[in-house]
Amino acid sequence: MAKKLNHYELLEIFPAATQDEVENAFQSMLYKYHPDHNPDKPDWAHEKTSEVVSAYKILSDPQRRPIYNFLIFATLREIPSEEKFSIFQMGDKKKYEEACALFKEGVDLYETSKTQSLLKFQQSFGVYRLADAVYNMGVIYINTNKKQEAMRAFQEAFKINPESQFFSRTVDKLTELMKEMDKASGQPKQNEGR
Amino acid sequence: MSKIIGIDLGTTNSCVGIMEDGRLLIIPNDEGFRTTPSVVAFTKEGSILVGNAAKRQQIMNPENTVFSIKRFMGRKYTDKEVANDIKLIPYKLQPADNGDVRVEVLGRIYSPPEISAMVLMKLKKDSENYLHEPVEKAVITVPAYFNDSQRQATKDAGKIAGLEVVRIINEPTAAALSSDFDSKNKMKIVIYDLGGGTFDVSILKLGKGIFEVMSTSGDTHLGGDDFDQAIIDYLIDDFYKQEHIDLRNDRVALQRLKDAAEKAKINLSTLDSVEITLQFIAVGKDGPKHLQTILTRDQLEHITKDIAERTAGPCEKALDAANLKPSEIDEVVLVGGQTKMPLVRNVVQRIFRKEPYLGLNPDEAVAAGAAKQASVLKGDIRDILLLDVTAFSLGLKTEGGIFSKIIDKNSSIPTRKSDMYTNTIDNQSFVRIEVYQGEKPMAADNKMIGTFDLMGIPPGKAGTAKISVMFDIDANGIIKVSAKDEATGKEQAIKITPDSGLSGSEVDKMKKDIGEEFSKKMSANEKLKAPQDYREEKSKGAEGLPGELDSRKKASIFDIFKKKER
Repeated sequence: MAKKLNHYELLEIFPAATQDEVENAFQSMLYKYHPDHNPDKPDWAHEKTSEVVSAYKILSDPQRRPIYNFLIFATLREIPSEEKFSIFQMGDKKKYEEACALFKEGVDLYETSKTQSLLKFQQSFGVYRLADAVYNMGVIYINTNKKQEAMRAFQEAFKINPESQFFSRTVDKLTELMKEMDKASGQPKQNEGR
Repeated sequence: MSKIIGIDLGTTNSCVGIMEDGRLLIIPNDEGFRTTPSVVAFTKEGSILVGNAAKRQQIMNPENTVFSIKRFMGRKYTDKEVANDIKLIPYKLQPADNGDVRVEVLGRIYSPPEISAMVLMKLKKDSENYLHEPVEKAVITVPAYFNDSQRQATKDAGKIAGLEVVRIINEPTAAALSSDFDSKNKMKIVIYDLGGGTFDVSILKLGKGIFEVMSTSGDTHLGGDDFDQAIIDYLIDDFYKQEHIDLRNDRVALQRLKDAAEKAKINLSTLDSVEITLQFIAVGKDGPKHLQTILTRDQLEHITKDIAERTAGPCEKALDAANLKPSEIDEVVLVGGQTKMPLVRNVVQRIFRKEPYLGLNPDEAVAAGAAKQASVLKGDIRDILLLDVTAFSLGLKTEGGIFSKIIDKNSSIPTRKSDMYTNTIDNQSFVRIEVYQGEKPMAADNKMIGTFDLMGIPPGKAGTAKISVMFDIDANGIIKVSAKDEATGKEQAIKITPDSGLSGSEVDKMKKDIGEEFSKKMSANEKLKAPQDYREEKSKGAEGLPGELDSRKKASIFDIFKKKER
């Protein structure tokens, strides 16, 4: 299977594109892919148009675009980081392996059901303090727009593994995102008393 | 490539348009009228009449004259809207085996798509006579608020009539397409479409030739008919007060009242008062009674105000869904015959705080837009594109009967959403998926579309199967469900049991039966011509306009040319 393009790649624009550039790119792509203009390959046109539309809907939404940007960076960790155990820690090793098994189930369920997947990562984290499990919980929280919970999860991952550049950057990026979004929602649309 | 006509298949009237050499043309019917009543009559002598001829004999033959069939397309007999309508129509309805509505006329049972097909056959025939060549393809419009079953039923009607329905488009969107706004420039418009039986409101964003619908809302049971009914009720009550005779049980009287009410309503759009006279409407103890009364515009507005006000709710919903306030709208466009009423225009102006735009012909705009879309599909127009939305959320029945949404209402179409399914018990071989359309939290309160059985799941432990199910809504607003086994990449077998509608073989049979019945029973001078006749005529015919058109038809063609040149 070909690698799935991210929304920017699909619209052939840079992540820094302005709203006008997003809209222009969307309009050109629509002419290129829409079934009305591709009567000879309706299935392909349907799928491409559907992808382009959902990319545009997210990138043109000032609330959803920053979250999407964040999610391009903070993707699901698929394999938990390895840990070494001494002969005196065999009990911990067993727990670690049990947690890894639950972790794997969580990864498998991610596409099917975010709720089920979250549950597995929570269980995994309950068995053994896996930094990657709590990190993945954060990723799912972001997916469901729970930013506060996500922040706590990422901070926890960073606390467990303070050497990780990646965890530290995730926390920074999310802090940035939350500031940006507070600013955006600070000027809500006036609803003229409707 | 053969020609594609655009058809506005209306509740009360239908209209046909076509783009010819870049010019928009409304095709007049065989009597020279630019719209055709959506009425089908079965006479006791055994012939079928469609259009003006059917409408003219309606008063004498109310039980066998079928009108407003659009209200029953894709509907269940037990739907509450149907229950209300049954009281108002003089012809007989009954449930089919699957619960769909059927019409009974002169002992024969017809499905609503068959009746609609007769209207379409008439429109097709008139177009062929006018264009002097066979017509086999059409774009047909439906209210934006038509659900999947209603759209399928419309498509079936086309098939039965021998028309390939190349696209179903939404009426308000079609109207927008027909407008002469410069779609290259950015602007936001509202289409307020109040027709004979349905109300639709859509908000569109125009730019670069793309007509992007932002939101849509409406009421499938709100239209001109409701205004007429309010007048009828008023007249009946008034008559009862004076004569103590209830006209409600007299079908012929009701039909005469309906005609009189509609006429009075139309005239009161320009006059301040009208006189309504219905001679011999009833017989009392002391002889025949006449209904004679004066109706003023003030009175009319008083009795229909609540109906007009019912359009406000959907308008506000559409604005909210598009996240717009009235001041951000550039134009409010009126479509549908009922928007000619001054009261309706006042309501529109109040809602949007803006003078409505009156540049579109409310009776013809939808057909004109359908014709334009036909031209896009033919490939003649390359710089216009329609991006519509679905008016309903699509979802599944999940545990406890809860409706879980997959595609939200007001999502752009075409759209595809996938969902992953797995086996919940070991070696489970099939999964049942029940698909619904609607907004209510419980699945059972929404409209069931159909049941999909995912079959042949490879045996394995619970949770090991990975079947991805794709939910598509195509550009017609029609739903398709398909499945793929993620492990093998193979298309997964799916058994679809639609909750309503006609099967493919039923449609084929109807196409044959109705085709035969129709050509046999159409009155002699309206006999269908075989396609080759047109080709012969065309090769014989003079350049430009067909020779044998009467002066009235010619006049209407020139009208169109004049209009376009203005």
